[in-house]
Amino acid sequence: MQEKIIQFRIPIVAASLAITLLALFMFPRLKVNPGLDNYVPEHIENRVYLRKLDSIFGGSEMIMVMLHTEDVVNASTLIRLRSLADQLCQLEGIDRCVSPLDAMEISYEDGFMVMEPFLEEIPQDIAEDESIRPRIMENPMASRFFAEDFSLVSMILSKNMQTSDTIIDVIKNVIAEHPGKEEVLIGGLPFIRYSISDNIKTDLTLLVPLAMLLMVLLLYFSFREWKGVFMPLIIVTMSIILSFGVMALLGWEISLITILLPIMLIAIANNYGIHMIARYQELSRKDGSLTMKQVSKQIFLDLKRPIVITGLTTIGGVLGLLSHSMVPAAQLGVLTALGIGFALMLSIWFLPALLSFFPIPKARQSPGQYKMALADRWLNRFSSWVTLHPVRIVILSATVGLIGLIGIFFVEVDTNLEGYFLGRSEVRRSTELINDKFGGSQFISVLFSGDILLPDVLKRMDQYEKEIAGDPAVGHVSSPVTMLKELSKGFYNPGEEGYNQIPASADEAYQFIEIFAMGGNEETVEQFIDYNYEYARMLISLKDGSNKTGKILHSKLQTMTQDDPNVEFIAGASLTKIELADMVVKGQYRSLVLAMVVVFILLSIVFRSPRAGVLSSSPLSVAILVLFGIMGLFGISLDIATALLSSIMIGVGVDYTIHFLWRFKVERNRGLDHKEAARVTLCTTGRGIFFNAFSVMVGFLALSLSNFAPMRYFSGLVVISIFTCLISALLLVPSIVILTKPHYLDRNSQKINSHE
Amino acid sequence: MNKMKLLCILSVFSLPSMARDDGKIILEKAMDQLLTMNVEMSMEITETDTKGRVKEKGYDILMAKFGDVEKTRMIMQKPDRAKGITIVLTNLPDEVGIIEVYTPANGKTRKMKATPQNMSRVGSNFALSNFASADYDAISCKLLGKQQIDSLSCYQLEVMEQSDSIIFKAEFMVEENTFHIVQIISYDEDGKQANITKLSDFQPINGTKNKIQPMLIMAEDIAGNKHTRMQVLNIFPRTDLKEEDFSIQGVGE
Repeated sequence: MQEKIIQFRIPIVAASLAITLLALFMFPRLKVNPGLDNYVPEHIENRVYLRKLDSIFGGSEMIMVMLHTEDVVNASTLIRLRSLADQLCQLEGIDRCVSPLDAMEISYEDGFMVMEPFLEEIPQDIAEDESIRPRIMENPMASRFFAEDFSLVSMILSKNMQTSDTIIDVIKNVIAEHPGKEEVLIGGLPFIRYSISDNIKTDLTLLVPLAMLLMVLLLYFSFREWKGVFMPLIIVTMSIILSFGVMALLGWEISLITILLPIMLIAIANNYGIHMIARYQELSRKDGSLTMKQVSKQIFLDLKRPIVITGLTTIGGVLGLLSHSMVPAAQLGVLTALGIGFALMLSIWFLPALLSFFPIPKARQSPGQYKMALADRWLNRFSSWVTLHPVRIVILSATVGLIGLIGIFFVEVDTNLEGYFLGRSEVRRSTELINDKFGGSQFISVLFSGDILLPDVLKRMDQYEKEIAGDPAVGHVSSPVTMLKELSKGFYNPGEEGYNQIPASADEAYQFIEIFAMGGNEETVEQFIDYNYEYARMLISLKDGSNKTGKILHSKLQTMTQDDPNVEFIAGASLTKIELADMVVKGQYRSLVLAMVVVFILLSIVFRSPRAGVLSSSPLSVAILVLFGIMGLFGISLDIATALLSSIMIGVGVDYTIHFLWRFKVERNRGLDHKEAARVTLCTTGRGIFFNAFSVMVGFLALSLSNFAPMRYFSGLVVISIFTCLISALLLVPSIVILTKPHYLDRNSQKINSHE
Repeated sequence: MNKMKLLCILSVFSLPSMARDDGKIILEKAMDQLLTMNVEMSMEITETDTKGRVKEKGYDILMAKFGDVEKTRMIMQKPDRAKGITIVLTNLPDEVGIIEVYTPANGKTRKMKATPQNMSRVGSNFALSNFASADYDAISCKLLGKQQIDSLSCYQLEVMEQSDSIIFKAEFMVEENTFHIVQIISYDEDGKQANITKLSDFQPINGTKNKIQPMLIMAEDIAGNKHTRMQVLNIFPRTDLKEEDFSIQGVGE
């Protein structure tokens, strides 16, 4: 095989480049989809319900535009709000637009029913009008648009699911056309998604070059030779291009967790190339008479097996993501596996083929001498500990694992988009303001169907409204009942039976609404009652968008309405993330088990013993316990990004154990006893393992500069888990091997090529 | 030669005023054919919203003029739950009119002031109503030219009426031969098209002299993307109408 690599080196290089170029041509087809819906399969109940709500009431996605100043009740702010409303309500893609300017004030004065928009006239001295603020607060149709301290006034634009989130750009342009002293903030799920989309692009353009730069520095300081830098780097670049090309070809969209794809490939896919370069340098230094073609053939011969095995275990680990119901997670698994697979092939075929074109370098000092010396010191310490105190190490590892196990019980799941943003970003600020001052931007709808205007049905709605409004997690509750009670004020005098009450009959309710709608208020009506009065909805806003709150409230609503024949369903964009959270947890368990099973089977085959599979799983088990223990003890939630950690960690972390066992077996076959074999392995292969793990950690460190909180946590956690795998592979595995003296590592029957 | 030049200059300067006069004459002629007062009619309205959902409504309508006071009464016949809702509009000269609303479900009658704002809020699908009984001296009307509408040659008129702060502006298409108003485009405050109303199926009204009625009126609310189909089921002249016929109490009882 190695002869053919040199013989066909031009076609190998040309074919590899051609495949990469073809993938590159697919790039224009790539699309970004920042929504959570993308993560949840189409058939999921809440998605079906949301589509129905959209078809009945029009756009159910709300964009909030807020004006923020010390006191918004002044002529210039309200006139600015009107100018903005006039233009924003006309935008194509906006289904409905409501503001305090539309809110009707209904009263009965001097024998006349007065039904006028609340702020139709905005006098210049409105700020001095002492009656205006109490009137606003007493009117439920107006008060919901104002913060209690009047520091904010808002308007709500509703878009349907078909309208792209890029409408935010148009809204921003309109805002820019109406300058003023007030700060204008945008909020709501579409704005959060828009910001995510924006940040995904920023992250991809910033983090990928950063990770590449870190890798270049690491490779240069390690190999002190440009070939050692650009060869692994070319392989990584080509594998990233292939993965994204396949993504475009399959019509998959870039989501938040796609940011992980290039970073993972940078961190993982260069490992094979690094081993090849290290071996090439070793051989060329050792024997100056070798030609580059001979070196190329030899490195292929020496490393093809361990590289293929570690590659396959990594692929097996990341393919564990396939068991996730989260669609992008499964896609990430496939694409990473493809990228790693391509990197694997490039490392064992393309790299030696390309290397053979270069002249052999002149012999020189060992590269990365200082770093290796540092690593050596640590590895020597490790080998002493392992040989002197194997029992203590096993006990210590078990204790650490147990502490981790305790922490696991505190792990929480949260898939709230609001938590993705850090610091004082616009989206974070607007979300906080909406949650604090407007009772939240995430809604749950309760859909009623049937004869929804019957007093019995309306009374039940009223009862639910009162009950749920008392929940501290609830911001606002609005339903047709709020509107009908307000309308009754125009037909009855204060104190009269019927004033501010639910209409006495369905006909009366119908006639109130009909008269109100005739007055040009169809849009206000259609927020709660559909066009033909067959459906009604209660809208509940959540003060905080956490899964815990949403889940408790959802369950409370379900219990409250379970026997109500008119309640068709409870749905809301905020509930999608709860279903997503369940999927995250289930996916986490499944991917963990699947990755472990794949690794176990592969290692059992490679070492021809199921005990090898069990032994290889021990450092992973400790690392998993430490990872989830830290998450639980430090309050880091399991989310759409951190849920991917275990599969990635298993895929990457198992390599270190494989490298250790492989070399240990070689040393045992050379006749060394268990302790000596462990010591030699740690001092030789241990350096490779150390360097390999270090490069993975450095690659993932780039994510710590991500705009998204889950990615930053991911970065920290992946570093911790890889570090745990490393320490376990260098301490726990040798200790177990010394204590248990496994026979499968003693046999001579299997031919092993040393790669050190 | 000098005489020719003078004639041309005079023609250019006098054309706009001639056009305005022609426009007003055409509009008056077109409006005169319609029976907008002392009339009773039944109408079925089918409203279709953006999503194609349909709502059907039925009205019995009375219109009359008592001196300077114009009255319109509409009683809803469809749907069942709205049956009996009665709206009486009273237009008073030189003062704000009154809208009375009767809701049979609770037997309550409520009055509202017919301010231009309220009137504009109560549906503006049918632009003709704004001009039907208008004082022509308060209307400005300009003949813009001619245009083909559904293969009919029509006069294109720009009609404007200012009422308080609200300006009604519309473009009327009047068929050249019959003086039927076949299309009205009304504009919003920003000068954008707000509604397009098409009138067709003109039929003579029995018991009147030269009066006609468009039996089918199709209105399109452009901004709201809603369509309204108004079918006049029957129409009679009612010279016998009295003010009591427009009393809500009469309806309620």
